[in-house]
Amino acid sequence: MSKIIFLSNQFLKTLYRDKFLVVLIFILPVLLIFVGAMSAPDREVLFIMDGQIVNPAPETVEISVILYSLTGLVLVASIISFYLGMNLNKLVPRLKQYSYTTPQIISAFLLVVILINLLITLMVTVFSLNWLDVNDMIGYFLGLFLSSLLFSTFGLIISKLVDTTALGLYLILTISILDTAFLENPLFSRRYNEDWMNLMPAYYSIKMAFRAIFDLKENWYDDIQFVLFYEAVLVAIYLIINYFKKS
Amino acid sequence: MIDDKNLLLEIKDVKFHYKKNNDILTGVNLELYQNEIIGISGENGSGKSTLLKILVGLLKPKTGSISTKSKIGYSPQNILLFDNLTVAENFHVFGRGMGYDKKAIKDQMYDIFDKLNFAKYEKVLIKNLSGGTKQKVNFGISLIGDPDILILDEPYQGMDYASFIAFWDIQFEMRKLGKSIIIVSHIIEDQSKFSRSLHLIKGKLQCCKEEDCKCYEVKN
Amino acid sequence: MIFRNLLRQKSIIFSSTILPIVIIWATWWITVEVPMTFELYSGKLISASMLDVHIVTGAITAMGITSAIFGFLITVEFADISKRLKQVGYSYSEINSSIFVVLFLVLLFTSSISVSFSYLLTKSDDLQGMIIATLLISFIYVSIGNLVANIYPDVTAGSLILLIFAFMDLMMIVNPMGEAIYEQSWVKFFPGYWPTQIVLEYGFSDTPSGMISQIIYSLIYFLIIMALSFFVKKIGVTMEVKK
Repeated sequence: MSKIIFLSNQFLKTLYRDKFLVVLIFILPVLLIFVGAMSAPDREVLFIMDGQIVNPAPETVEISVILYSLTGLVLVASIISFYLGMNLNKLVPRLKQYSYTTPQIISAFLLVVILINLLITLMVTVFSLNWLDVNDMIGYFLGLFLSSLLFSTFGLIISKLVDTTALGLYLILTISILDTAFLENPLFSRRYNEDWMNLMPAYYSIKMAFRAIFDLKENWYDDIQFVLFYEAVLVAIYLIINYFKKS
Repeated sequence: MIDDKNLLLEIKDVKFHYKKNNDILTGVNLELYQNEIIGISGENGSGKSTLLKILVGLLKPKTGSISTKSKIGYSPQNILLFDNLTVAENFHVFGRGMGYDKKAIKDQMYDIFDKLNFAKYEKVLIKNLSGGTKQKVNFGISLIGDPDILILDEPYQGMDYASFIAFWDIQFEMRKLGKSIIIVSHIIEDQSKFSRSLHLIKGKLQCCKEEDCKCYEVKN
Repeated sequence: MIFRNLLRQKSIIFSSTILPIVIIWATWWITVEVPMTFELYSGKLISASMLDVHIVTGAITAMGITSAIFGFLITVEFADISKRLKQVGYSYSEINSSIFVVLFLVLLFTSSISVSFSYLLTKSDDLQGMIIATLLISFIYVSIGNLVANIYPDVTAGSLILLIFAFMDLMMIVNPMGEAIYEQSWVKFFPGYWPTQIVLEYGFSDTPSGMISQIIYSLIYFLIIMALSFFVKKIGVTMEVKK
């Protein structure tokens, strides 16, 4: 256990000594939420979820802020795990040679990812509350936090698949923005209510956030199992890629 | 199983390929005894680094076996260190992995600092070091735990002359203590420092003799 | 040779062909077809399909992102190698001209993909405005890429800054899709504003006007950023980046 905490402490140091990443963590989500809130006109929107019209009708600014909170959050989460993954991929063999076991390295990595994601989620939650009235704070926080975990795993998978940082970043940005800012955006997405959308990574966590804010039939915790299942599938994909890359 | 007390490492008919039908190592044999410094050379892409990675367990041979009871230290060709950690922190990360406590790591670290003369960089981040100093740290890390065998892959790229001399002093000192070294090197001057000089040709380790200008496959 | 060197990089291929197609196709595939109303700089009130507006602004965004990345990567990549080329006998004018030709060819290729692909998907039958706007956005964003490279030549951080900035500028701020922010008077100081106005004016207005002044504003913007970039390079504020 002490080895895991020691190693995660060193991983954390490698992150916070990179000024750019620190700036990214604090600036990007705030900037996206702020611009998202400013771009939304002051009017109510007809919003249908689970086949029912949400009543009272939400304002566009609320939807915009939720979506851009998620966009900022998943971008930062996936970029950080991608960065850590790219750095660690080359160092893992040497760490193993110095008697660190695979579970120790993975646990230390997970600990760092969870800590960072908690921090960003907390920051995003607090900042977004400027525009939102949240009915159920736990549901909202968990929705955001779980989406950050899902996209962290995406970042990790991409770090295994690409050779260059630039290509990895393009992929991360394309997937994150396409999913959270475009596809899941009820303000202009015509795919929003299509059945297959539940295959998209942010689908259930966004639903959780919406349910925690708007007055809806179902509770946010009905979606947790799907988010966790999605996470398990992504972890399995990562492990399979890891296995084939090694051999 | 190694029975001979002086025998530290035994490699038997090791074969390896990254892609099928394209063997890089076609049957490597070697016995490494105490007090030996073995130099390995070969063309670029001949499989020297691959062989060393197999010896330290980073790659698994497709066939053949490697037997050793000794502790191995390895300095890879590419610098594998945490860029955003200081020199001392890197020593602590790798030392802690081997189970040493803070004090034991510090003692070893200062000893290595003295030998390689880079104590002044103790608190400098790796990313802010010059290429040669990074290489020294990369090599210094391989000395943690006082290994019986040192496996070094072109360890002195970018080192200054004084560090190069210090590097060889460490090797001779280790040899005196009954330890052995396998080193990949292309420097002609180094040949005189080796107990045995081997060449990796067509996936096999060969010993070349000056008298008849011929190379003979190494067999255990 | 410079061209070959670029073509052999996967990230370049991705950003010059796949990325624009993905952005334009995604905007078409996702956006709902409902009417929207917005005001142009010229004061005209436009009613158009949200789908069409999003596609043409998507094309501009794709060009902006690609140009910024190219401007950045070429500046970073050739900062050191051009010194070496100079040593072996090439003059700076030869090196710079070759880089310019390569950049021009790649951006011409990317803009023809963006223009033709968006032309296929939208009901707007304007080509003139679209071509001029993509060229202007290329110039402006190449210069922004160049400026960022001269200040912070780190590939990871630099490309990320540019990707996010271009996305926010072209998709959220100067784009009528971001209704409330688009109406603010200060958005005209953003780099994508004038080229976007050209594409909207010529794509959706029955009586398009003001192209010359919008081209001039765009070129002034481009010249200011280039001047800033040269100034930054000259006074040497480049941050130390370990490669």
